[in-house]
Amino acid sequence: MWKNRSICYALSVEDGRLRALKGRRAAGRIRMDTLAEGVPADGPAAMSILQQVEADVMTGRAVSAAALPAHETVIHRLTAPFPSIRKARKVFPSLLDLALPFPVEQCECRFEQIRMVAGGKVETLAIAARRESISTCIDELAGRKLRPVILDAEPRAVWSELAQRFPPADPASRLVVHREGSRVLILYGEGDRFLSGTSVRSWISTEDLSRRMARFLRSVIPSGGSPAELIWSGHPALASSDKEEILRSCSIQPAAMHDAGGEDILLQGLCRNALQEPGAIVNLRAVGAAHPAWDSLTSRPLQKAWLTCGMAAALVIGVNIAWTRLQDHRAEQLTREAQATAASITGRERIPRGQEAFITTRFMNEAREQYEPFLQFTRPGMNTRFYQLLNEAHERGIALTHLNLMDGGSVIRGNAPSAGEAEAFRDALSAVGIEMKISIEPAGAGDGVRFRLEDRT
Amino acid sequence: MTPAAHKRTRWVMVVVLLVALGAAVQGFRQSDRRNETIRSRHQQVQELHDVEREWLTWTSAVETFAARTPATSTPLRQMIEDTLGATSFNLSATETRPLTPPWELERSELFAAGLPAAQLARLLDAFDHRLPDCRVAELLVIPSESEPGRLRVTLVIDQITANRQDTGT
Repeated sequence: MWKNRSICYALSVEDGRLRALKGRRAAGRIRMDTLAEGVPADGPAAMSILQQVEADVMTGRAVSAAALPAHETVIHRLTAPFPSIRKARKVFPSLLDLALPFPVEQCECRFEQIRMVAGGKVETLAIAARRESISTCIDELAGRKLRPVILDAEPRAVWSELAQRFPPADPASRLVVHREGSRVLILYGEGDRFLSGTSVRSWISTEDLSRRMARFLRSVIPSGGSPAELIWSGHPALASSDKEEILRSCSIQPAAMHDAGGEDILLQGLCRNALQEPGAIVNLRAVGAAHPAWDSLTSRPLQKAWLTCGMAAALVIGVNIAWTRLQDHRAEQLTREAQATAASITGRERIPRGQEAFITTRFMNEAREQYEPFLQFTRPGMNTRFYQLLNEAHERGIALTHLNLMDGGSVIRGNAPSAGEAEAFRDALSAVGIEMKISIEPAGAGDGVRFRLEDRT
Repeated sequence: MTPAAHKRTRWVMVVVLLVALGAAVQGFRQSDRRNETIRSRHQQVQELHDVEREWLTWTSAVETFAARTPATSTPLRQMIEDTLGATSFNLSATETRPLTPPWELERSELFAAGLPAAQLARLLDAFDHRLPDCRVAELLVIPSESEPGRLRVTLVIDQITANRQDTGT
């Protein structure tokens, strides 16, 4: 359903410079190509890229994505005390309202990763941003000729991309320090669960950054201690000395530490999230301020689903209709054949449908008496049978005393020299097609036997 | 599209497919009934073809008979008189019934007492060669008790003739 959107352009403008990345999904993998690495946003190269992006977006071949800065977004992990996801969905806005410094009615909210957790509760990652902030961000981007279809939350994009790069081995605590131009994002979570985040200006001193980070850690790890994992990422990358200073100041000693290098984690995260299943995409500009391409893109899966269902249903119904027609045609053909056959036998022009066999059988029964004698004339008469009998009797020394031959009721009586000769006579008649049963009785002393032959029928 | 909308879409798809599946099942159940009708009609047609074959056998028997029967043949009584000579006999018609036009069947009974075996043989031979429109339907032969060596013979003879009124001759 989402196949058409296999291309995503991730865009970012920082300090008047455009960064653009093209992500293409093919064969289950996403290939990322950098289109622009800090080119002047007003320059011809940037204009050319943005025109291409807009053309691809408007033709439906691709989507474009940008990030709402971290300081404009609020991300909270909420837990509803119900064992029902349906009920929890209804109370999440109220729970979020309690955690926001401004009314939830002024915000665009998204509730992601809704799932049941231990204790019969439902948990979600709530992402919110003020509509005013969203509008301002969209206007600023539009001023730079950027019209992203998707406006994702910056912390979420960074966190999910790093979770993809460095899959958590277990649900251990993870701290991410990501530098994104003028901001430093400090993100905290457990395993792949993003729990909380904050951002600070990147131009503040290392000491101030360490202090803000220590305060953040105290809020997310009230019991103190160090996160099990630490990931450095973003560009320009923090200097090694700054990293050491931060670790020392915050008194953290992570068991594992990764460095994502200078790769564009944010844009890659935006791309990867935008190329997900439609239900998993977070687009903060989806309602009210939606890009014209968004509606067509989101309605396309629904249209395709309807179309597929409709085609499947039409196919099934079409096959049914065709099969029914074929069967009706065959039945009609057989009826016509039966009527023609019955008409040729009976000589009647019209035979009521379904009565062909009945009428033909009645006609044949009535005609039998008129035609049967002709059939009998085609068979040998009784004289032929008589000659065969006489010949066989003569050869065996048999004297016939009574001979009555007729169809189905012949009787022959006679005397034979022995019972064996009488039976041989019966067998000889059988060989010439005269099937008879025999009964034998002694004729008297020395006079052989008397026998009687009757038709088997 | 929100997850809820996505789920709704899935449910709608499931319902549509279930309806189509239901229609298909219903269609194929009706198809079974139609197949049964076709099988029954096919069997009926086969039976009618069997009857047609029997009918063709009958009509061809009539044609064969008509082809081999001469327009004029020796009258039955005259043939018997010629064959038996001085031997007395009794010939009587017992039944006449119409066959398929223009034919009719006449059944006669011939009785002769004290008939030598040689004359009986000649008589039967004459039926084969001189009277193709006659057939011996029944033959009863009993040795004569009063005249040894002679026979009491009763013949039932069927003769098919063309009806004069039907043929217009």
